[in-house]
Amino acid sequence: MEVFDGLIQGLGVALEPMNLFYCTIGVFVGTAVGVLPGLGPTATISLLLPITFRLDPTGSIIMLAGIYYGAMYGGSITAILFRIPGEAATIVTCLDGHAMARQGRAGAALGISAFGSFIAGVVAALGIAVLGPTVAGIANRFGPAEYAALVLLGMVLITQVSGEQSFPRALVMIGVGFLASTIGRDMIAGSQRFTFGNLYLEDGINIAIIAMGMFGVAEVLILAERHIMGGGFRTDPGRLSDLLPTRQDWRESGGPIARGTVLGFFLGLLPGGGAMIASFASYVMEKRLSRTPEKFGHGAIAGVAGPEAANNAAAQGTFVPLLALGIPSNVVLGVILGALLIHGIPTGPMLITNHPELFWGVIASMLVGNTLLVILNVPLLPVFVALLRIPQPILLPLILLFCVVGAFSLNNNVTDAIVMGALGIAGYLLRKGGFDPAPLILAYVLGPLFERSVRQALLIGYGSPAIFITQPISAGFIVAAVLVLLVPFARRRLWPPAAAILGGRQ
Amino acid sequence: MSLRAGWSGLAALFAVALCAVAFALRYGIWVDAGPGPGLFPLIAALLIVIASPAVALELARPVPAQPDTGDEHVGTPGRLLTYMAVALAWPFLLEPLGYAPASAVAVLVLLVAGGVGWIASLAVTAAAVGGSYLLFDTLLEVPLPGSDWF
Repeated sequence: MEVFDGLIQGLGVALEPMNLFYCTIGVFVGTAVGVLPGLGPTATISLLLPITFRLDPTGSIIMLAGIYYGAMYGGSITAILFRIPGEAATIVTCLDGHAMARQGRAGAALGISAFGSFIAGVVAALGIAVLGPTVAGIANRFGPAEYAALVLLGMVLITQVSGEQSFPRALVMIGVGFLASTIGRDMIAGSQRFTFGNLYLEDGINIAIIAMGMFGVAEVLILAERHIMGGGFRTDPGRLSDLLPTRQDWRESGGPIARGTVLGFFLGLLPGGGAMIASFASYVMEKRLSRTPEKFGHGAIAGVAGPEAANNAAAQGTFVPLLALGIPSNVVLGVILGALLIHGIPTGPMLITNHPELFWGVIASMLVGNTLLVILNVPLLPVFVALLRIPQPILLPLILLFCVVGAFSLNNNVTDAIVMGALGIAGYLLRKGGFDPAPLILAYVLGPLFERSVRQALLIGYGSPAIFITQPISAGFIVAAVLVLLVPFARRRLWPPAAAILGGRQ
Repeated sequence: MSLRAGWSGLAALFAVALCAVAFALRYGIWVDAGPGPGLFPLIAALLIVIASPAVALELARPVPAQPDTGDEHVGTPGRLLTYMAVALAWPFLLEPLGYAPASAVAVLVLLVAGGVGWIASLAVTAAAVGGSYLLFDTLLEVPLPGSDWF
């Protein structure tokens, strides 16, 4: 009853005209910045932070939260249409979403992404209300060993998300991503690594630069080389009713959306988990559960529905450790935490008692915000899909233009755009050689967290790696990682594919 | 997938990994209190070194011919080289020329290289550069690079 009363109170707050207005602004701006490469939610929220000083705390957090989950959906639009992930969490969406777009099914991919995100968002918001404060207590037990083991599990999952790429190639790309993530100042000793006296490299290379170069620019170069006549995509139908997912699409997506929502929500609750691990964990799970895993990477709608639901559920789940414990799971939430502190609102267990209108208002605003996202974006599907009808010789320079402006706008630094161009050419050459950049980018994101956690854990354990297996949560993640690695091999040994059996009999 | 690109890519990554091993050893693998700054670069580089022979074996295996999709003309190196050159040169022109002139030149070159007519190229260039300038510089207040004369 307490939860029900809280939600009613929250809906009252979220539906106040001014809060509804801030929520609309938040999801609209969030979608826009998700679509534009480079200007991500962190930069946008930082830029808008001074504006929120004049708003009341609830309104400002509702707006900032709207930007955060709006950007998650916006990032999926460019990932599906142009293979440019707006956010790290939408890298996985590129694999099957873009393949669907190339088959003339961009509308279905965008539609299932919107509806999947909506369903996940609503369920996650209700989940936060019901389970959040209780489950968040688990986060208190997370130390460096648990973080390290969780990221290890994430790293193992990456090897399974590499589309057509073989396991050894995925390992090579993880090694490259991991190595690249060590460029810059060592976070524990403070010494420089692989900077060669270059000031630009001291803070490492921004992930957005790598993603835009390796995915966006490399894709432009590949399309430029192929010189596909027309738009390079099979055309989608023009009417909205024909663009929406079919009954068959829904049948194939229902399970992945449900599983992605649950998985994403719980991974979002864990500090360090977040939307990115959730999205590729969901992808791996769906591929494993699918009767047609060979379709993954070639336009399987389950490969879009699951990860999209998971990343949105996780994005909202991350608010539980933030609001209930004061632990931001990522940089964006760190900035939102800053906004709360500026308003004089300390987060933590007392937040629900001292500021119930804020806690329940933000949760209820997620229900409202996700509804607004669907209302805003579904009617725009024909517009998004129409972008694919632009002839390729015109479309490619425009994509490159947005990549250059996006790269520059990150730090107002031309060097970012230069590095992005160089990485684009490197990404093109790697893809020509059969190396998919997705594991590289994912390893680049997880690398620093993994290194810091492992080193801190080893320092705590006086250099002994036993700390990773003596802590129950950490040991659990390590066992899960080993299982993820070994189960496919065991399955192939014990249950050879039907084709192999038939082939042997012929 | 191109076999030559596969072998070149693997060789380049292997060479990078070997250099990284040398640097990692210099940074220090283990210090008194625990792992040193070189430990993780070493692990990453060794991952590449260890997985490389398996990739080499894959590359050495004969690959079945890919079916022709029929909707593309593969092999237009001139166009590709133009795109590569523009992707590299464009950012270098941003500061000396300013955002709008540098981007106008780059977009125009790419459009013409793609076979778009001159009038259409000029119109698209003006719309794209003007539109992006308005969106980023005016609306989003992202200060785009300017030169002394623009």
